[in-house]
Amino acid sequence: MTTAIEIEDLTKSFTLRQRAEGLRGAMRGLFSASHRTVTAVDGLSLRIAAGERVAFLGPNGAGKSTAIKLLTGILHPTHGHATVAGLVPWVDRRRLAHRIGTVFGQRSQLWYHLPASDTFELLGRVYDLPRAEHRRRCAALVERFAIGEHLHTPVRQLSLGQRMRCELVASLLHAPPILFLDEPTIGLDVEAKATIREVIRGDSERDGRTLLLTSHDTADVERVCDRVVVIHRGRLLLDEGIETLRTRFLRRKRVILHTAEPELALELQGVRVIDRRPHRLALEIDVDVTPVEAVIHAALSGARLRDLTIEDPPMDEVIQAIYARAEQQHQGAPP
Amino acid sequence: MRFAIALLATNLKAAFALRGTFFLQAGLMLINNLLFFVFWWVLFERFEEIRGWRIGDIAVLYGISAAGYGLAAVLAGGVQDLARHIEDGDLDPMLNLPRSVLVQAVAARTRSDGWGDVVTGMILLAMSGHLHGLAWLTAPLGVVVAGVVFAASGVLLHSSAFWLGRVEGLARQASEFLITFSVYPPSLFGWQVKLLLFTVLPAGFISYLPTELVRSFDPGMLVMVLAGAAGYAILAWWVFERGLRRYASGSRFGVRD
Amino acid sequence: MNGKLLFVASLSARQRLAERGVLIGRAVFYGLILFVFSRLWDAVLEGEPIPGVEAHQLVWYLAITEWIVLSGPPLHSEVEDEVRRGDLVYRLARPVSYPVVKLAEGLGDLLVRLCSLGVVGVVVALVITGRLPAEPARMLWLVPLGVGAGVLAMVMHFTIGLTSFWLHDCRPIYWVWQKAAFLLGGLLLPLPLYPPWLRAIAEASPLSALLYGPGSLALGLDTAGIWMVLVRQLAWLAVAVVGLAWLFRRGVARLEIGGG
Repeated sequence: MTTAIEIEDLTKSFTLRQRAEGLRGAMRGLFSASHRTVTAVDGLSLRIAAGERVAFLGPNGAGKSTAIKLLTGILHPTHGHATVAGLVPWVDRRRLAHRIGTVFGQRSQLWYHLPASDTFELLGRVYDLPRAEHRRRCAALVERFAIGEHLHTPVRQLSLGQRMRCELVASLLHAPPILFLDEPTIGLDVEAKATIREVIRGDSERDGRTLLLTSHDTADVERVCDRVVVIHRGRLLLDEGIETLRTRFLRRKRVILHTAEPELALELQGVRVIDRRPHRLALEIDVDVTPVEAVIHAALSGARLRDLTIEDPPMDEVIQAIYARAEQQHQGAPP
Repeated sequence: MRFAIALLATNLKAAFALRGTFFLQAGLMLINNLLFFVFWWVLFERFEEIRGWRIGDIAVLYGISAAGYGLAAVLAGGVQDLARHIEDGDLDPMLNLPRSVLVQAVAARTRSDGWGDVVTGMILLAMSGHLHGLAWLTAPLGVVVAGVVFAASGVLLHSSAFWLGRVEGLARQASEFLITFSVYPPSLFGWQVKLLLFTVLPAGFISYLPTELVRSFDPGMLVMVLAGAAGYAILAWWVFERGLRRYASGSRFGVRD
Repeated sequence: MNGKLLFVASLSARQRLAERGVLIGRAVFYGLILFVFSRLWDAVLEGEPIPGVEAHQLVWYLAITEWIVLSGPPLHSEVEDEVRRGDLVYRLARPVSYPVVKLAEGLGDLLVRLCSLGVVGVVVALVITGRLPAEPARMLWLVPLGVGAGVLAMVMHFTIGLTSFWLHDCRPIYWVWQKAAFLLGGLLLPLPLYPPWLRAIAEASPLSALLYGPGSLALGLDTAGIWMVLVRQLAWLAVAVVGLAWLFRRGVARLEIGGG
C-alpha cells in the first residue's frame, strides 16, 4: 500500500519575543528582547497510508494545528522531515496544493455574496483544470453531496449544513488524493452533522481519499475515522485504531437495566451506579474486576428484566481519561 | 495571468451583487471628491495663477491622483486589509492554493467607492483643457502609473506587519499622508520635501511627474515615470515575498497555535 | 444624573489619553497640514497679495479651523459599529438614554483632542509664522468658541452615525458631510475670499459657525462678532439636537419593528 503521509522526527519551535508593558517597556523592547522558546511540535513521527482516515486529537495548544500547518506547507519546521503525497510540503508548497484539499470549519473559501457555482468556477481557474473535465467533476460532486438546488443561491442565504457541503465540493474539485479537515461539523445541528460525516466518509471510501481530521467532536472521529492519533504537548501520545482505543484504554462497560420491579438492589465490586430511577438502573462496570455476565446474573436473580442495554462508554470519556493520565505523568516526571 | 483576471471578475461580480451599496458608495465618493476640488476652483477664481500653475494644471494633478487611487482601490482593494490579514494569520488559506499569495491578497476584494474616484479623475481630466494630442495617451498612462505606485506603496507599508506586528493604524495614517501630498503640487515645497516626495512618500511619482508629462510631453520624463513605477512595484513584490518567508517560519509576535 | 455623566466623560477622556500612538499620529498629521498649507499661502500671496490680509494670519486661521476639524470626535463610526454588532440593543435597555451617554463619552474625547491639538497647533503655527497673532489675549475666546464648535460637530457626527440604522455603511455620507464642511465652513480659505454667491450659501449654513467663525479670530474679529458666532453656534446646536432626537426615535422604532 502506498504511503500518503510520512512524518519523521518533525519539530517546530517558536521563539516568542516577550513584549513588556507600557511605553517604557516598548522602548526597552527596542534595545533588548527577552525570548521564550515554545516547542509546538516535538519530534513527531508518523506514517499514514493512502486511503486511511485518521483523526488528530489533542487539547488546545497540543500542537495539532501546528502539525497540520507543517504538513500543508504553511509553516517551515525547525528540523525533521515529512512527505505528503510524495512532496516535501515546505519545499514544494505550490505543487502540493494541487494534491491536497483543505476544509476549515471556521473559515470559508466560498464567496459570501455569490452563489457557490461562482466559487467553483473560480477554483477551476485556480487549479488550471481543463474546462470539460472540471464541469464533469463539478456535476459529479454536486450530485454526490446533494447541493444541486443550492448551487445558484447566494452562499449567505444557505444554512450552515448546506454551506459546509458546498465547502466540501469546493475542496474536492481538483480531485486531491489527500483531504485535511479542521472542525468540519462545528456549529451544525445534529442532523446536519450526521449528513456531513456520512458524506465525507462515503466520498473517502469511494475515491480512496486519505483523510486527516481534527475535531473536538468525538462523534466526528467515531463516524468518519478508523484511526486515532493523540498529540500531547507536541508529542505523539497514542496511535491506535478506534476499536482498540476503547478496549485498551477504558476497561468499562455501561449497563442499563429496565426492571419490572420499581427498585433493584445490586452490590458488587467494581460496579458503580450512575443513575437510579423507578424501573431503571444504569451501572458502570469495571470489567477487570467484575465481568458483565456476573452483573447480569446478579440482576436476574434479584428482578425480572424487561430490557437490557450494554454500551461502550462515550469516546469523550476515553479521550479525557487519556489526557488526564498523560498530564499526570507529565507532572510527575522530572522537569 | 488569467487567474488574476478571473479573480477580479469574481470580485466585481460579488461587489455588483449588492447593487444599491455599489452605486451609493461610488456616487458618494464622486461627490466627495468634487466637493473637495471646489476648493481649488474657488481659490483659482480669486487668484488666477499660483507659481505658474493654473486651474487646468491642478485639475490634471488631482484627476490623475484620484483616478489612480480609484484604479488601485478597484483592482487591488485588498491592500488596505493586508496588515490585518498578516496579523490574523489570514494568509494561511492563500498558501494552500497553487497561486501567488501576493496576487490573492491584493485582489482579495474590490472597493466599490474606487469607481467614484475613477470617474472623478476622468471628469477632471476632461475639463482640464489639457486633453489634446499626446495627452490622450499620457493621461491614461499617468493614471495607470499612479495606481501602480499607490498599490505598491500600500503593499510596502502593510508588509511591515511581517516584522513589526500591529501596524494597521500606522499604515492607514501613512496612506493618508501619501494621498494628501499627492494632490498638492511639489513646487510649493523646498528641496528637502521634494526629495521625500520622490522616495519615501512617492507622491511625486503618483501625480506630479505624470502631470508634467501631460502638460508637456518629454521622453526623458516618460522613462523616469515608467522606471519609478516599475521600481516601486518590484520593490513591493520583493519585500512582500521576503516577509512571506518570515511568516512561514512562524516567528511573529504572539503566534497562536 | 449629572455625576454619572461626568464620570462617563472623564472615563472616556482617560481612555483617550492612554492611546498615545493615536494622539501622536493625529498631531503629526495636523502639523503636516499646517506645513503644506503655509507653503501654499506663501506661493499664493507672492503672486498676488490680498489687501488687509497677511500670510501669517492665514496660517493661524488654518491652525484654528483644522484644530476644530480634528477635534470633533468621529462618533459616527462608533455608532455604526454598535448598530452593526447589535450592542446598541443592549445599551438601549440601560436606565440612561443612549444618545446622552454617547455624547458624554464624546465630550471626554473632545476635550482631550482640543487640549492636545491646541498645544500642537500653537507651537507649530508659532514655528511656521514666527509670531503670535495680533492681540494674543483675544485668543482666549477660542476656549468657548472651540468647545462650542466641537460639541456642534459631535452632535452632527452622531446624527450621521444614526443613519446606519438604515444604511449598511455611513462612512461615505460622513465624507461628503466633511467635504461640505470644509467647503462651506471655509476650512482652508476664509469665506470673504469666496465668490459672493457661494459665500452667501456658506454663511447661511451652520458650517460657517463651526469653522469660519472661530477661525476669524485670527483675522481680527471684534467682540460683537465673537458673541454673534457663539449665538449662532448655540442656535444651530439646538436645531441639531432636535434633529438628532427625532432621528434617534425613528431609528429605535425601526429597530423594534425589525426585532433587532
